[in-house]
Amino acid sequence: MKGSCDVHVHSTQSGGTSSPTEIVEMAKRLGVQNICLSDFGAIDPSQVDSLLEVCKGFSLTVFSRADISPKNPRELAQKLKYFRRKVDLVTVDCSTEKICHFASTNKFVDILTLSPTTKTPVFTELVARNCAKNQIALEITLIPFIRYYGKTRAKHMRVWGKILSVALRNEVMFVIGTGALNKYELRGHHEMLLLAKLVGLPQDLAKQSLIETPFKLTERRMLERNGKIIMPGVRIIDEEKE
Amino acid sequence: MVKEEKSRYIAFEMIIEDETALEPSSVFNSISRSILSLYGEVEASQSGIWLIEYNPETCQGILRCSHKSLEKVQTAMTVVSKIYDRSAMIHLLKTSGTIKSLRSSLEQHSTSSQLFNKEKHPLND
Repeated sequence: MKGSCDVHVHSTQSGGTSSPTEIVEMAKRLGVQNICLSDFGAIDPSQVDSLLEVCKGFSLTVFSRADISPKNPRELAQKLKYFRRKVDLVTVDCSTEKICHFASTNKFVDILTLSPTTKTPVFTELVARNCAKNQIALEITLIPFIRYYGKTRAKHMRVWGKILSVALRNEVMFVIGTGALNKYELRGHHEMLLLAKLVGLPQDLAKQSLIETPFKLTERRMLERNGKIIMPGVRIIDEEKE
Repeated sequence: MVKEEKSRYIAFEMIIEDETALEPSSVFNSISRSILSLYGEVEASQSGIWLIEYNPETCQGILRCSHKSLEKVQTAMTVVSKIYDRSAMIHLLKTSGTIKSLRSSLEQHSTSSQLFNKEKHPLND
């Protein structure tokens, strides 16, 4: 696995307007080597394999991702239990500070997504410290910078500036996703780097967020799904192969 | 002696809903509007953008800009998402200091979507 990874793409299965095949075709045309389809919060996780099968034959790696938008920490805990070991990445949409704090302390969460339009800041210093400690990445969703303009885009930039300053201070990992709802909202590797830089992410960190961090996260979950990690800190090693 | 300002040439591909053929003026207007919206009038005046050529059949074109504004122009091109209420995007193919080398690279690579991965790019330094 190598190359850039767009960690947030929606197809028709989760409110998007392009089919998974169209998404994969466009990603390949743009030179993106890996994408995460964010459909698995909306569909039955048992359909993961059948949906990923559609995307085979494009010489492009497609990861499964479940987006959880809970109303309270209790609902989040239930959903995490449900999605655990069924998808490659589990993402939590942090609408309140309580949810954000709970998600940042849970080891089954891979990525936090923030909606910068909420009035009270949910990504606090404490949450940032927890994220760094538990290896949870913060997603920079690029779609507001593509879709909106004028005051709305300026507001997103201002809020993201504040979030980034907290995250950078605490050495939180980042991942970059377009959040595309159709194939025309996808962007190529260099376009994503340019947009990440526009948001305020340093160049080296932007590259790392686009190339290394997504694989670090998916690899961790894949080992769990294959049954090689039986409990935190204990991994079964096949002596003949390794 | 005042040095002449250097130019950079950006090869790009327009990807638009329904594969609609666009006039070069529409493409230029959408890019200049995007620069104006994102960076304002000062940067728009300093960017010195000019559409050298645009082929409506292949949807590929070459844009000239000031080398100092290269990154800002590229970013502004990236945020173009609609033209005439149709979903659209601009895919950056390659950047060069001379139009000759850009054209020869484009001819060599008919499947030009991977060009940026092979060439040195300011963000790869």
